[in-house]
Parts: sequence; structure tokens; C-alpha cells
Amino acid sequence: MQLSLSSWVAERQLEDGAWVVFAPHRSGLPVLVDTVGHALLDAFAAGPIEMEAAVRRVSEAIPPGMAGTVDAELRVLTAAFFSRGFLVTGPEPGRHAATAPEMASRSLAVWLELTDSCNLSCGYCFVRKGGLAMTDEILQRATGAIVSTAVTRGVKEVEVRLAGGEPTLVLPAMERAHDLLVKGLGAAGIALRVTVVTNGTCANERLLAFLRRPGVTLAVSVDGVGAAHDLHRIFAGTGRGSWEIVASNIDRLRADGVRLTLGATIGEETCTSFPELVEWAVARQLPIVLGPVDTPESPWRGERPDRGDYGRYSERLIESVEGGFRVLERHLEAGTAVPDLVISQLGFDHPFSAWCCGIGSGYVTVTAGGDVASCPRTARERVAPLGDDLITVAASLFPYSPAERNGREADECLACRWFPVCAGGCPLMNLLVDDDPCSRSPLCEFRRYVIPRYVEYLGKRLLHEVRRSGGRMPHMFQKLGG
Amino acid sequence: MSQEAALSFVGRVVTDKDFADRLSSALSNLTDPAARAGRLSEFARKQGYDVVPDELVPYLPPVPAELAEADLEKVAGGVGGFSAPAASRLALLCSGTGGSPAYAMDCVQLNPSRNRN
Repeated sequence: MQLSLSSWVAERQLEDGAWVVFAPHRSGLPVLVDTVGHALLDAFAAGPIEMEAAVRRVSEAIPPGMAGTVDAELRVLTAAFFSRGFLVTGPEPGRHAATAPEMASRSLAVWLELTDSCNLSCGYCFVRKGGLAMTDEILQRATGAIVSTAVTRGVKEVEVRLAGGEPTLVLPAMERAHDLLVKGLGAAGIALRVTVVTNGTCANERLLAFLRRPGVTLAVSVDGVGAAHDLHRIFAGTGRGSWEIVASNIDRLRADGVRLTLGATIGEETCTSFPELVEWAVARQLPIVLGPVDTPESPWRGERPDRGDYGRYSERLIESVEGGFRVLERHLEAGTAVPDLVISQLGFDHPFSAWCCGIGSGYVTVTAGGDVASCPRTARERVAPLGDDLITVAASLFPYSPAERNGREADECLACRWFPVCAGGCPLMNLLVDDDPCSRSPLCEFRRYVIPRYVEYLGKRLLHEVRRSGGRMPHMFQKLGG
Repeated sequence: MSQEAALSFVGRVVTDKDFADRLSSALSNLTDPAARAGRLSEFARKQGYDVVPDELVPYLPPVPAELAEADLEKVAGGVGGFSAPAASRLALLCSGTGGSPAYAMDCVQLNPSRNRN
């Protein structure tokens, strides 16, 4: 049996003879390999070669006396590389293949819009405020539909995002939704995870009690620190910025042991604050989910943004996010623990072959008025009544397939190394900008920067873990269970 | 039975902690080598790997004389119906670092020169 290095594998040299290696088309986060591990990969790089020949080539360069043990070790390492998709047994296709959304998704994510009201008035918000709150009758029907969908589809876990508007304005509805879901899903043996998506302006005792419930976490949306946050995130009545109260509430919630994540919604005007936000998060050990705003300058109002503006926006994003990475890396070098950083809509752990967000398959929105939408952004544009199978309803509202790409010879995305991580970007944004959900993301330039940069950063984190353990650098190091 | 199945099986054991834990559980309480070998094959087949223990021998390093079998069993729980200490070394690879700490190969300079990015 002959093996060769996959043409899709990406690698970058770090320090101390360590390399970060990543197979974007296969499950699993990047791994760290040492000099020996990298030499073994190199042995397979020139083309198909028998494992024994590669092992011999590497072991010959290792001091005598260790050869007997080294060969077995190198075979195990070869097996690990094969398992991770770094090595392949035959020729690979020159392009990735996109697939239709998988309708029998094993996980279901629901954006449950409990109200469209909000106490803030952010310029870029896609929710059109109508003073609507979900009634108990709709809540019962919505949660019933979530349960029946999960049962019908054989889903093992449901993730519900309690959202708005601002969901903490309707705290009793949050409690009621949770009660109903726990009862319905629990009876079916289906796991439930709940995230409250909030602007962080409310933190009372009742909310704290709710957040102590099992499986409930909090995601606080922030745009930056101080003035950057206050640029858009202003109170609806007074126009006053919300940063001061949000920062104070976050510290209070942390002190109370609430598990919370920062949702960094950085845009063209606020992204320069991202390094400062990262510094702020490191000081509090708060995980960050980075989600750049999809449109340059102008808010999401349904009008078509100019693709030309994205070049400027991407440049600003790149500069700002690079600053954030440098903050994290400086802390790593200083031996400080750093919180997790996740980038939304990018699949580093599990490759995408369909859409990057599960639209039309495993991701559904239910509005305060009791309608179903395929995405919160389209909740006022195209909706359908609640049905027993939410996925079927959502799919009917977004009747496109990424597999359309396969028939297009000129599709740039399928030839891109990073397609399994990016999937061409947000299909709604592509649709808005190009009238084609399968076009190339307007933020392609940013994505081509941030994907390999994030891989490099993860490699540095792994190297930091190895150093912190005080042990030898292993031939291959990966996150536990990864 | 195939080289590829053995390669895939070993690769999964050393990169998938849950898989290694399940294998370890499947072999727990079995001390007879033949019984362990049988259980290993059964486990592998159930997981879709047509592997017999002999095919895994090339992946098992010799056992250092100074390490008692009992010590290695204590460390790793033992894996496989073949040489228990050697199998335990393989199990040690699943302990989180993904590589055996026993080999000091990081001193070797092999001059990797190519960045495939």
C-alpha cells in the first residue's frame, strides 16, 4: 500500500522545530508536529511511497541504537497522519465537491425570537421592531414544533438561542420556553442547550437565577470597548451609549459564576477596537466569538451593498483581527492563559460541504409572531406558518443548493484549499450582493487571511500547552478528543 | 484483512480518545492473551475495521527490559491480545500527548525545508 501527502494539507513552521499541520477537508482541528513528524510528512510529499520506505528514510537519520523502537513509532505516527487525512492512498480530485444540505441533521439549532422589542437602537440591527412579544399560545406551539422536529428527525441534541430583540425584556417567556423544552425534549431523551443572546444591559436577580439552570449559557453581544461599542449600541430612548452598564453587568455576572461568551460583532467603523476588546476579554478570561458584520458601513436593511466596498472593509478587518491575534500571542508568550477564540461561520473542526450555517437544514428561526424563517435576517421578508417539521418549512423558504457549484467549471471556491472551512461564505449575503447564494463571499479576501492565520494561532496555542506541561515535544500533539 | 484497515485502526486509536477509551473498556477485566486478542478483533470488526492482532505487531515497539508488565498495565490499562506491555505503549499514545514521551527524537535535526503553504 502506497501513501502520499494530501494536496489539501496546509502547514506552517512555528518555533522550536514545531509545525502546525491542518487538513481542512477532514474532521479535526490543526495539530502540532515536531521535526520527526514533519520529516515523515516530507517523506510522503514527493508522491506515492510505501510506508516502510518512508519509515526507513526517516529512521536512517535518527541516531543508531534507537532504530528498533523508532520504526514502530514512525508507523504509529503514519497511522495517525492517515487517520487525520494528511496522508492518502490514491489520487485526489483537484476540486472539492459541494453537497445538498443534509436534511436529516443530527443536531438542530433554533433561533427563538421571543420579542422584537429592544431597549437599544443599534444602527445595523436587522430586526424590525414592532413591539411584538411571543404569546404563551405561540410559545407552546413553537416549543412543541421544536420537540416534534427533533423527534421526527432523530436529533440527539437541540440548541436553542433565546433571542430578540432583547430577550431579557421578556424574562418570564424565557423561563416558560425553557420549562416547555426541558419537559418535551427530556421526555424524548434529547439533550438541550440554551444560549441567551443578549445586549447585556439587564442583569437582575431573576436573570441570574435563570442562568443557573443546567445547560443555560449567556452570549453578550459587544462591538468593541468603550466608544467603539457606544457608536451603535445606544439606548433607544436617550441615545446614550450602553458600554458602561454592559461592562459592569458582565463583571457582576462573572462574579456570580455565570458562564458567558462575548459575541464580538465588529464592523467597518468599530473593528479597530478589536485588539482592545481582546485585551479586555483576556483580563476576564471570557471566550470570544468573532462575527464580523456582513456589510461594510451601511446596516443590514435589505438593500444591495456594493461589492467594491468590501475590499476596503476586508483590509480594515484584516488589520484589526491581526491586532487581536497579536494580543493573544503576546499573552501566550508571557505564559498567561488565554480564553478561547472562535470565528463564526468558519468550520475548522468539521468541514462544510453544504452551507456554512445550516440554513435550510439544521438551523431554523421562529419569530415572535409565530412564523418560521430560514434565518433571523429574513424573518421579516420571507416566512411561513409553524409546522410540525420546522426543517421542512425552513427548507422551503430557502430553496437553493450548494451542489449547484459542482456544475460550474469556473467556480473558484471549489478549487480553494479553504472551501471546507468557508463554504463560500454566508449564502444570504452572496444572494444579496450577487443574486446568487453560490457566489464567492464578498469577504473572501478577509477569509483567505483569517483562516490560515487562525490555524497558525491554534498551533501556537498547542505549542504553549506543550511548553506549559514541561514535557518533551511529542511527534504529534492534538487537543484531547480532537 | 488489509494493511489499510490496520493503518486506519491504529490511527483511530491514537487520535480519537473516545475510541481508545471504548477499546480499553472492551478489553478490561480480560487477562488471558487469547481472550484479549479475540475481543480486540471483535471490537475492531464491530467498528468496521477488518483487523487481526498480528497485523498490529509492526506498530508495537519492543518493551524496555526495566519496565515490568504490571507497571505498564497500571499506566495504560493494557490494550490488545498481543504483548500486553507493548500494547500498553500504544495505549500510552492515546493519553493526550499523542506521542510517546519515551523517545527523545526532538534532538534530531532533519532540516525540513519545504513549506507547502
